[in-house]
Amino acid sequence: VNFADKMRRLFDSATVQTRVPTDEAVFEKIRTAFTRTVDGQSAQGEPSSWKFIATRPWAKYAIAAAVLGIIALLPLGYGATKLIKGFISIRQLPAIKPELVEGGTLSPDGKRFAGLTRASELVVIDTATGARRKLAQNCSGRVVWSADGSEIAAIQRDPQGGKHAAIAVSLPTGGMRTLMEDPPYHLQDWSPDGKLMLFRKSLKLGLESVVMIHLESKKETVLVADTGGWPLSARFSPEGDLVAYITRQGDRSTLHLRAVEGTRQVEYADFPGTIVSPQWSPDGAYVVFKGTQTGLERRFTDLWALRVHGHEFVGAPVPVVPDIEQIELSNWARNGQLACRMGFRLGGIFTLPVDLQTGQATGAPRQLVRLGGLPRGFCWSPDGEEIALCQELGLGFLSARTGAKIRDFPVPGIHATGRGLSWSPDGKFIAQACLDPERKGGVFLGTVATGEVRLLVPQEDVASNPTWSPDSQSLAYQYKGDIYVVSIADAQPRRLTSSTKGEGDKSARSFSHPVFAPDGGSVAYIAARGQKSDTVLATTIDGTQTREVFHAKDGQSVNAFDWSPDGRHIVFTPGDKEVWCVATPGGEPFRIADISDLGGEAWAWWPEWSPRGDAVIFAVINEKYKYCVMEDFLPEE
Amino acid sequence: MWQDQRLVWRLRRGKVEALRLIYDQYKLDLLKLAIILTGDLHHAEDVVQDVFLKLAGSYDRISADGNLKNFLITCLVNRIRTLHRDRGRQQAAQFDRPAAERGPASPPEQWAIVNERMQRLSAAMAELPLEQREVVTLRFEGGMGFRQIAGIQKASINTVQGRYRYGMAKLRSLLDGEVET
Repeated sequence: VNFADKMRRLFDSATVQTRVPTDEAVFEKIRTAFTRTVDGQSAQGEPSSWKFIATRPWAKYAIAAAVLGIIALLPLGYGATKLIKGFISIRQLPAIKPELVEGGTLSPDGKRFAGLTRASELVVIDTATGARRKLAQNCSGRVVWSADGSEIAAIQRDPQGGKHAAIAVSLPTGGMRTLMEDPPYHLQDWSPDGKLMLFRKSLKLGLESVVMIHLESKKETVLVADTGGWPLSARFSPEGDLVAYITRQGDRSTLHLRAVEGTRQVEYADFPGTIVSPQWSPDGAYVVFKGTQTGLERRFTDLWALRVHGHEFVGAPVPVVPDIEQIELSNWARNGQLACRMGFRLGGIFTLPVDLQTGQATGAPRQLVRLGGLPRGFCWSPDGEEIALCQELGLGFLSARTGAKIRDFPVPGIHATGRGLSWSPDGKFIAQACLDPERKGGVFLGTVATGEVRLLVPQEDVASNPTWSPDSQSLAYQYKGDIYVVSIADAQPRRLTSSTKGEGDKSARSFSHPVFAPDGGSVAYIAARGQKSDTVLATTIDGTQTREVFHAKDGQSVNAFDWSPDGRHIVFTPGDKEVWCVATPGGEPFRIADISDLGGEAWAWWPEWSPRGDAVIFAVINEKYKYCVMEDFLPEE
Repeated sequence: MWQDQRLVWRLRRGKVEALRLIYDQYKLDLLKLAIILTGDLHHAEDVVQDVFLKLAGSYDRISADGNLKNFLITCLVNRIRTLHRDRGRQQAAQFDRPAAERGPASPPEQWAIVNERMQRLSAAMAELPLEQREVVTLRFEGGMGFRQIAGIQKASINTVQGRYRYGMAKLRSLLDGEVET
């Protein structure tokens, strides 16, 4: 096959589609220009007008400007009158402070908002006054109201490591009752009659199902056996007779409508993109969802509404609120308010100049690149000129000096888990912890020159933080709380550490974030006991000797670290707004960067020392949210 | 061809439905050409809208026995050249801009949705000079012969063939490992 034939195939397989709403708006613009031209031609017989224009040249420009103005305004007019209802009301709930974590919901009457604090407390807040009341502790996940608004359900963890439970707290009395012991962790919804609950059930990392459980009989009905790694949600209809839920296959989604009794099931599978977060309108006449379509340079996420009548979808979905990528839908209260959280997670990679000899910063941290969220993983190139960055469809390469994008490295079908990336010192390979299209986890090797990707170490679960030995012959990685080393030649992993699972959380011992020592003779890693991770140990490659590299004091943690190229320092992030450095062995740690000026919600993570030793890069996350309600956005009947 | 002539004949009589049929028939072809030639989705959308607006504004001057597709492609190529000349090459989009920088909410505005292959193809084509890009694109996507392309480019056939060879050599160096056999 010659290259011209290959190019012909590439041209044939490159496709364009048009978005139907915009398609109609564009044609409307063209049609208007056409009819105006046709009308203008018909009016040529009126000599007085033409004489006026002919004798006053500026009139031509004025007319042209008016026509262009009309043309420019047409799409907006079209959207306002035909697609998007004109008076969508989006109102902030100023009483709901953003320190609540994701998963809060509005009461059926819209007067209260229930959610979880960062300290895992279940609280209910008066939306008018902001008065807050603590209802329970050690809760997690989504909060769900009973249909009459008298109880709030959540998942409560046992702090001693015992079984967790689905609980319901009475709003009038504050009393708590257990709905179910040891349920799946991710509560989705509670049926209006209080008898059924919907859950996302984690089977293992990367494998989840969606189930409906009868609280009395414990009978479990599987709605989605395997979500394909996507966090799919399910919701009961207001009457409680139907469940709307989503399945996803690659870049397409299907919206399902299932009778609770299992007697009927219909689906809508024609949306040209992905669907998330279905929500029932209070009257049960619509299911709205976030629909995302992919463009050339960005994605477009809009709110769509699909009519439901009886147990069927009616017609095609219509867009009702455009560009809601930054909006997370919470729940649609019976008073007609769709509660949502608006804002964004601003991510970035910062670079900090450092002196290799002293470990001290020689300048202020500087933002190298801004991202739409948490970096999924990044690493230096061996020459220190580039930074490889995990993207949704593979890797991107940035200039380490300017942050400018240099090129892409597509890895089709491989799903990055955001658990580490490492470029071999010889420049040939990039190791990454990923899931393949069958969601089998493991350490994958990408060949930089050819783009070929192969699975080096297949595993049941997903590995983390692969890191290269200085001679590029071995990798160390983290898997199920232990550190492993594997030779590229034989791909036979060998465990370096022995994690333990104690009676409670406090005595459990686990190991993470391996980093090869610069001499290649040992692997350093973070040792955690219970929730406390404050020690960096190093074990020789043969596993015979382990020594302490650093032990943080005064309650400081080590959540990620890296070794300097000369092995004299380690740089670490304690899990807040600071980056620290310490000479090894036995030095006193000192702070080298502080990002407090970015705001109260910003934090630094994952420092990586450059191969030349002159800079440290690290990830920064900053969250900005506010709570709102949307009303009056459904299409006119 | 006769169908196009019939459409043009009806268009010349001010029939909106003819405009609609032409729009439906050629919008995707023109969008694809424009995306490959400009390497920029937003410019491509603007260019294709301009071409249809030009068609709408000069409907009575189109030759009823001419080739409608060639007319539209020629308009498109000329419009892109003008754009290219006036604006220079569009700077590469800022990498992975955060959602907060994308400006206020607005009605659905992006027209075209492209697949991954199209992204790869347009990225590779963006590495070629415009003249070479035109030749390669009109050859593969427009289905034109070198003589027709020479007419559009107002250049000799030898020049056009040279541009084709240089363009393909560059693409081979960029894509040969990536293009599936």
